[in-house]
Amino acid sequence: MNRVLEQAKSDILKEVVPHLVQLINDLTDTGKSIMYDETTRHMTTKALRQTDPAKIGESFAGLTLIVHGQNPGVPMNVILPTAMMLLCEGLNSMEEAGVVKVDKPFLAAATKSMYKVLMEELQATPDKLQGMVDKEKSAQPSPATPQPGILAQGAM
Amino acid sequence: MAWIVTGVAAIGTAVGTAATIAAVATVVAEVGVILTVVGAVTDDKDLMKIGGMMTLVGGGVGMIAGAAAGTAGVAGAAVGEAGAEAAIAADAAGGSFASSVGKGLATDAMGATVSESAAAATLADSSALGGAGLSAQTMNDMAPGLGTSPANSATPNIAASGAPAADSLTVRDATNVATPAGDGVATPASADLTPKGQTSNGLSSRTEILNKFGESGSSNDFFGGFSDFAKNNKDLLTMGKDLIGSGMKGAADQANADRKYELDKRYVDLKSFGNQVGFAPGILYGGAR
Repeated sequence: MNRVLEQAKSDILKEVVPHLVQLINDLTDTGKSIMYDETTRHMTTKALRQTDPAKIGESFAGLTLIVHGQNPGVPMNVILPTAMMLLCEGLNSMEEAGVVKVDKPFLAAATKSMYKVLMEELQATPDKLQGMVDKEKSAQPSPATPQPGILAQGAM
Repeated sequence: MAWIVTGVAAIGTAVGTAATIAAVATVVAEVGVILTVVGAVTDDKDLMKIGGMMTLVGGGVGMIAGAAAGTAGVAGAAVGEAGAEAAIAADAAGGSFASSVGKGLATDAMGATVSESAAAATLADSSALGGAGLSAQTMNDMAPGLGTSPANSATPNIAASGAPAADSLTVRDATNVATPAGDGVATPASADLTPKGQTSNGLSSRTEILNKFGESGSSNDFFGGFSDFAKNNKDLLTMGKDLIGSGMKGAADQANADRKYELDKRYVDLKSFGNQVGFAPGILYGGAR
């Protein structure tokens, strides 16, 4: 495997709690089975024929969303690293097929594009976040003001 | 692009449950950590900065959510630590030093996040069952949504796919599934494992989805939005940074105290080295005679 891709994969897995690594690997296998299954191979071929890293990232975001749709209970701290694993696997296949040459800027661009789409679909956009924060802030009670009257009553 | 359409349809109802402030904060923080790591691998300082900023944002928002919802804030703050350190490191130094510091702390933060969300981890573990034994089922569920209906496959029709295919997952053999040991948490009800099948409704808005992606800006614009968010919510980030700063100062103080103790101990040992040799004044007196 491409050294950059391999390092990216291993570094991402290092960030994950060990007992979740197996789950990420399982989900990655699921994603790969979707990629290479007969019924979806034409989509894979179409996706892997692209050379624009942004488009490739978008395609793998879609694949990750399919995997997430099939496993809706899986938390985000598993799904999101799985997306990176799938991207690395796909890019490796593309490189082995001679479609693209994956270097560091290519990987960075594809990663950015993929997580942009994922975050948009997961409704984790700055606008949504701002709205939620505003709502949360307005819902929190204001700091308690001293009530001297109560003290005065107690003192009597 | 085709995968996006089917993917969006697949995510369907799952998104509805994820759109809480804590969940969004988790997504932002997790993506931030990943972008930081990828930035370090690819020597992309911008990506590291974006990742650092997003982890801070996720951490800060996590704290707000945590004020109302318990431990999410703790997890958010822990994640924010990685972001702060990555951002500081990316600004202050370049290259490998920045990478190593950012990555090192990101490890801790990620660990904290996952360990804080034990319930989520439980769900994740249980979903591993789905992930492990899913390949065949996935294709059966997916095919209607993909619009591919090979005649020789056991693909359910679209009308049938509207109902979740619970049986195939709930009755599968779980013995060959790698379940994390030692978490000691009961397996959630099988209802949580039920996959949500893709519905024809989910695919009806293909054009809308495609148009949306066609209109979407570049990824730089998107991630730049988090910088704007950070600028507009300085109080939030200040709060997070203060907490992170206190934590880091505490850790540094502890390290300094340990080091000082070791040095003092060594100094005392060296200074009193002579005293460890047996002192026998009698001999001296004897020699003096």
